[in-house]
Amino acid sequence: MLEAEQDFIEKAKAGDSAAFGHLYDHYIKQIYRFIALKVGTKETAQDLTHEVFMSAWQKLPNFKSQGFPFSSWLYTIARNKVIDHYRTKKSHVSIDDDGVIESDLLQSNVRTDELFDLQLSITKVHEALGQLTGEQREVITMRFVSDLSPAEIAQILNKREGTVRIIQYRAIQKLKKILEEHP
Amino acid sequence: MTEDFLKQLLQPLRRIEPEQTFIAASKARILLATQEPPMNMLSSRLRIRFFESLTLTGAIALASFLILIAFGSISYLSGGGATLATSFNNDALISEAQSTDFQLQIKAVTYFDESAKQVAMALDKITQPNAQDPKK
Repeated sequence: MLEAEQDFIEKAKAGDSAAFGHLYDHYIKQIYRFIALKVGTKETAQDLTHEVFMSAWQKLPNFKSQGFPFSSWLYTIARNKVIDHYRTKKSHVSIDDDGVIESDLLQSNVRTDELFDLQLSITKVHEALGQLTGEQREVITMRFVSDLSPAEIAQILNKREGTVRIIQYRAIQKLKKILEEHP
Repeated sequence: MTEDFLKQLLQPLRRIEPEQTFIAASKARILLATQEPPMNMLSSRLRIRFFESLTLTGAIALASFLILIAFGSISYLSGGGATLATSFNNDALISEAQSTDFQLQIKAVTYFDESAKQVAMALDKITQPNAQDPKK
């Protein structure tokens, strides 16, 4: 959580764009990563990330934390944007079919000599994740890539925390089995 | 498999990051946009809670009720209501009740008067001594 986050939120709610700028800088990478792992392409990830922060800025005056961090709200918006994206623009593709990560997601910020190895690692991990159910994959990436707590994930997915822990446990067991079979 | 191992395994995915040019352009465009005005606290809370709690069945029931109210209002305003309202006038009800009762009494007296005459005439004919026997 960003230091003085509550202060930035209150100022941004009152229309202080500089305060929102701090929130944007702090959360842009994790929200972009969350979306990119779901949509797989740079252009779509950029478009949806932009839409998420635009919605957040516009709707911020009516934001109520309800005991959860600001990031949970951003992830909820991001998840809904991805669902809308698959529902409207790509109705023939399911949200659970996000098995391909395009290499251009990495090119800009990775050294050329390590790009190939990194791409290979990502493809391998992503293939393993691809064998999980959409729900399991979502929980695992939010828990171990975005570092969200089970309570935050439960809030974003609109599920009970206990349910999230069960999904996580089953996903880990399944991943373990997959990696044992295909080390 | 520990959680630390899983974090390490998924570490490459953390390398996915947006381009700096995209970040700068997107941020600038967002901060130029205007915010939505804050909604009134009470009305927004009531509105959200009311509509969020509506199920499909509840929504249909509410719509049916509103349609019923609308048709009832139209019917009332187009004259049916005026007739109904006058029927609750006590004086009119009393006078109506009295006149109805009176007419019934007159009709009953007339009936008994006429029927009594006819019966008396029939009895006279039967009891006359010189009345001819139809068999003769």
